Amino acid sequence: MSEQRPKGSGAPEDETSMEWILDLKDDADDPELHAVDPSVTHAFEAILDEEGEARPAEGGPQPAGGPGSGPQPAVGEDGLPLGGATAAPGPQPAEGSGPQPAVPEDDQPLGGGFGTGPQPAVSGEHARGFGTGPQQVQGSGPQPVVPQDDHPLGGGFGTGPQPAVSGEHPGTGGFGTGPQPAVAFGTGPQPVVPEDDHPLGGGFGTGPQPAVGQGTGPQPAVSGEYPGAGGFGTGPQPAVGQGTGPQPAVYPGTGPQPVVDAGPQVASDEHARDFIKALAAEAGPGVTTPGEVAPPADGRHHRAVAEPGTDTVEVAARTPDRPQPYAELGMKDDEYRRVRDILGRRPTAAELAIYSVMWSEHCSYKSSKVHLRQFGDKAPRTDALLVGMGENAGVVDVGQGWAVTFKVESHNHPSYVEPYQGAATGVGGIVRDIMSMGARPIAVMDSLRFGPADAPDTQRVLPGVVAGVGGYGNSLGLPNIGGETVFDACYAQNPLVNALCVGVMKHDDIQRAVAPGPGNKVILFGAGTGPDGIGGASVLASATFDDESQAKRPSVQVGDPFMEKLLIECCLELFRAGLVVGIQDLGAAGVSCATTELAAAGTGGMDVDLDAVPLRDATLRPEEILMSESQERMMAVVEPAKVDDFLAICAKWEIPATVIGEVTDTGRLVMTWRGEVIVDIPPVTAADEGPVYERPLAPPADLGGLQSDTPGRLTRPSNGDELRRTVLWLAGSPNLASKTWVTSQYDRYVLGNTVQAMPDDAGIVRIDDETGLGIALSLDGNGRYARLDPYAGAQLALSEAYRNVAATGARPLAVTNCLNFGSPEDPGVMWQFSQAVTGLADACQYLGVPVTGGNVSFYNQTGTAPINPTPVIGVLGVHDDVRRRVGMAFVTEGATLALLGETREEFGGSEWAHVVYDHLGGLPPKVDLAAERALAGVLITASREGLLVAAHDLSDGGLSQALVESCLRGSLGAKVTVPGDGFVALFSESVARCLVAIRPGSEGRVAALCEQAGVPVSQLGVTGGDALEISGRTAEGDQELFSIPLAELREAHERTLPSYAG
Amino acid sequence: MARVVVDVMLKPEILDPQGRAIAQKLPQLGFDGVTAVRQGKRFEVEIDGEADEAALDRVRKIAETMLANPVIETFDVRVL
Amino acid sequence: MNAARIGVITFPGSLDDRDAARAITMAGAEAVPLWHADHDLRDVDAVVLPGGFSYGDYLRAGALARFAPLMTEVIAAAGNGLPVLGICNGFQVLCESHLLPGALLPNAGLHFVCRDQRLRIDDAGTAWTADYSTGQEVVIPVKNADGRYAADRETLAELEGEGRVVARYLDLNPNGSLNDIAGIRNEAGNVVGLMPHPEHAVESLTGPSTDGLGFFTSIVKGLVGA
Repeated sequence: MSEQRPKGSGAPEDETSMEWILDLKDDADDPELHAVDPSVTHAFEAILDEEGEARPAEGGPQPAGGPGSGPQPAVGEDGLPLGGATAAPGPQPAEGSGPQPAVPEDDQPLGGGFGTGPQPAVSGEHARGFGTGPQQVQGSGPQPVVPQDDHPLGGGFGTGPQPAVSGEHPGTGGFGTGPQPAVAFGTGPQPVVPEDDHPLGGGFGTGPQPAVGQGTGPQPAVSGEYPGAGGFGTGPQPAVGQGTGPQPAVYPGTGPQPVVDAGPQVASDEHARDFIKALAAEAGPGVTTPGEVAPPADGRHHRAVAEPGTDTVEVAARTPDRPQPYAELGMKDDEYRRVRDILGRRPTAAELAIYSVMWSEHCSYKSSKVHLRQFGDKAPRTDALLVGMGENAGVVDVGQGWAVTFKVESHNHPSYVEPYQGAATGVGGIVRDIMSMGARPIAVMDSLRFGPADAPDTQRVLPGVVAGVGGYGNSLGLPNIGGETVFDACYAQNPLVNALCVGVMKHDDIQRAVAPGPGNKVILFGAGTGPDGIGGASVLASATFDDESQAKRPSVQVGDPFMEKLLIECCLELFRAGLVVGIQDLGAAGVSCATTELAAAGTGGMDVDLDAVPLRDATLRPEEILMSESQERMMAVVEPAKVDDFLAICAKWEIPATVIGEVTDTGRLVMTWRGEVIVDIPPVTAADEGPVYERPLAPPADLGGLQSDTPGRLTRPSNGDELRRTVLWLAGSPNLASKTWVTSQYDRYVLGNTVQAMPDDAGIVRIDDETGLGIALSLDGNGRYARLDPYAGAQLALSEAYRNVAATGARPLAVTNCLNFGSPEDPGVMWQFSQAVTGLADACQYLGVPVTGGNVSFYNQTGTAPINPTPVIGVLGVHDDVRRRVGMAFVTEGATLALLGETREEFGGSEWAHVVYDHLGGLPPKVDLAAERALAGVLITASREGLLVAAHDLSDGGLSQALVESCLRGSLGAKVTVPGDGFVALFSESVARCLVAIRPGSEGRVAALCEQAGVPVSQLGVTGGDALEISGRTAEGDQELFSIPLAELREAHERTLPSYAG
Repeated sequence: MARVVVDVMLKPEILDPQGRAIAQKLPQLGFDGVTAVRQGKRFEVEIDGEADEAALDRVRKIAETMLANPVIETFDVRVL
Repeated sequence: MNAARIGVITFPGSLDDRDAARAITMAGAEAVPLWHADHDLRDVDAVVLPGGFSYGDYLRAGALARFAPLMTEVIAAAGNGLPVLGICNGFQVLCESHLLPGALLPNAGLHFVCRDQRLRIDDAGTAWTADYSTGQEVVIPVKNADGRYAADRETLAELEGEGRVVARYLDLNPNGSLNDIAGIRNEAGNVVGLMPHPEHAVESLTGPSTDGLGFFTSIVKGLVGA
């Protein structure tokens, strides 16, 4: 699937030094390396027309997916390194070498962390240490390939250590796959490196070289999911020891050498330093403290060899034919040509870096844009929407002068590579998006999907992810109010980590990511900028290093929630003081993205002095600075007269802040480095005018067969005993079992406004102490339904979230979505995507809840098998008074139980078919949006009138699971009689249904409401006792089918997850 | 310029579940004969000048005031 | 009669300061925000060190906050009998400052734990627990990663012998604290450290109970009555 071939493009005359590249063209003959060739549509006019709709910032600044590895060791078509290296593909740590995982005890839930491989330095103090670091899959060496979002190779161009690469995935073993095993002196490809100041830098293929020494072990690359994470051929680089394996030449651009032990970047701690200084003053000289700009982590001095000249605009203008590694950076020929047309010359290295990342899939949404337009086109008209798509996050009016902003984002690939930090930085990123809207973040949610619960890899990934979500969110002081944890084989090597954040502000406080007003200053504040995630930027860099000095580039971003907490407080104070004109958070593509987007959205011009950017690593080149994805940074536009006040508040919170530039009205983004202009582009072309693809679509070939394989043929439980067994089986199955093991690692109480959290239907947070105004949020998805029918599947996910919110009595208002799919180059996947987006847009229109923003994550697949299409939908609703919310627990004895909605015989994609038979086939339950709306209306009115003591909507596992959960939640049983076919009644997954416990005396009113709304209602039974008793209604009368004591039910439901945790 | 290393360990009587978790996992990975593991912390302190006795004393003071919690931890200082 | 004034210190990274202030207000006192970098306790009648992750828990939980400028005043005032309540991270800071003996270590289960925890109030004689009765059982959330109380044998014997254990975990010890200790007091009884979060059990709408309010009403009554 390789679309990326290094082209000696544009410079055939240079081929003498690029001979090995010619060999690579043999890849063209390998059918498996051929990408689906998308027809690229240069719809520039259309893009300009769609102003304000499907902007890349639809998801806010998206992490650079950047494919484009750093220099890669040349690899032949068989996936093996050129040069005859016969070592096993992928770095193989020698026996006993490589950092060995800190591993847990068997009987400890987290123990020391499952399979914690080599640790990027993480403080050992915290549970952060667990499950962090590259994970060593049992018995194997380097970690599996991590695909990048926008990389045609999927399997990760230039990603880090590769597992033993089977012939099955040539793409993964293919070109430039990161560290190659060095098994002996001087084996492996010896990269040819040009000696001049070639913008290629180290030239192709000089990528990271693994050291196979003791205690080094390959570090997994981080995928393109997150800011350049691994995007640019970052394989994490263990130290390049002497003579081990292919040695990067000491020439320019020897590729990124990620730090193995970057460790958490400790925020500068004034008090600690003051104390130490005081101590030193008292005790005498000779004790110093680490400065902010630390030398590279290995503590040695790095003597940079004299740098070749910087690639300035002036140089670019006079060297038009210099070959540029745009292919490595993921750009296509025509895209590169377009950049040249836009600029009227070749781009400088820095400009190329900017365009390559801003036009990457992740930032430009080039494969998805044409479909996502529907969210705008079909947006239902609503007064509640204050800020629509296109900004960092949508903003909704919830009444009483309050506004709420919310969004969900993915951080899938990094979480596979480095579960703790991948998940943690995912939370960090989405929180910053919310902050940049002017809101105080008030809650988070997480939707997690892993492979089978008992798979060793799941046991490696899950604990780290959960610890990371908790570690970061808890440290920020944000309650986690809900989410999901789902297990399915299709996510085995592609876990999904979708993080949601919600914030509140007053209407007047809404901030925008704009840079208006020539003369206003641009301030970068937050953590220092380091080499996090720059990967391929070093292809362009011309820094040089000698044998002793390796600038190690951390490919795993390490989050610092403490810094982000300070940033939250600082930003809020800045907003309160009215010091901010425009603000943007730095996520994917760091400074590149923030500057181009701010400039593009404002008066269109900006001057930036890159020398002013505060650095953690003084050796960074400007291209690297531009691409850096160091965490916890924001960029603000401030009036000149207010700059001092701005800086003073940052100082109070001990947050570094620097003026790095100024807004202009030139319509150009101009950046200087050491006094020379190295960037001069129209920012709107980078931020808003990325390529737009119309990729081919076709239903997957196997879909027909899948849909024909209905669950009707599966044998059903036929008597009370079998039904009983099935209830317990499902209640204890991983997807339906209690998630307390996960959710107890999250703080739900901080901020003191959490009214409801997991396992309740929706998380509820109070906004106003006086009036009780509050919001409800639910985050839901169902990959199996979408696999059977993506159009319906997306609508079903929306229906579930909508229903969850309404079940608590809240009025659904708006939608955010995270669309997790396989490779867009697979027409089947692209078809699924287009179907899902269309389904979601249609349903949102019907239900009157607009999509306010979201995120797309492509390339969730390994080899040719994509994950199930998994749209994850978040619905936000409002409670005028949270005191009237309705919970799911049975707490009142003797309350009438009723079932609202209609039950049909529908088992396609059901939990029953999945758990009992591992069957996926047929069609998912039929969508019925009219019924959902009618049901929601009844539930909302019922809650307002106080008619219900409990309400729990039905979804996975049908009525059976709803009863189990409500009984256990309240520790109160129920006696229920189901009509007709007991099996269908209990396990069907028909939509638009809700189980309610009616306040004694209100039965009539409930019945009337249902009749008025056209909602079928049937009496089920009554709450009470200490067992779940189910009877069947037959012609002869009610006959008990089974009874399960709550204690037995609880045991089955609660023991599952802890048992896997070990 | 010199570097002084401070190794901090929990006092022997303090339960170390992290170390224990590690030790219990090792046999599973094929590493036998490990009876116990205890996890600690290592600080590298760079100082101006030489690491003479006076300098080491200062570092010891730093260690006991800040780097280690003497209630539950002990420490060792040595020149790298 | 003037309302009692109870300070709540905000360190960089403090998280539950606003909730502590809310609880104080609900108890009828005036919550006075105090800044870690000041040297001014603003004449408060009592001080609360709230929960959170001050300084990111770097080095050790509470290890850096303990050196905050304001702690000089807090230590001095505590020595003079000022009532001080350290909740969770605050408890950690008090131990690091040696205002309380022992230390808080990572939870034995090596996870952050958030749960509604049953506790028993074993010492209802402190300024912070006077509104409880000895042996009273309450439900208050615990939520922390480093909640395991540890101390040497002599210290434990002293604490137990002198009845200085203020609260103990019931049913389940969420972190492996020795002797199920959830909270302790100093010899004089004015300084109390507590791992669970009473400020999150003050309203039935947002907490598992209102059992936590007693910590705040106790101090208010004690101050106002004095």
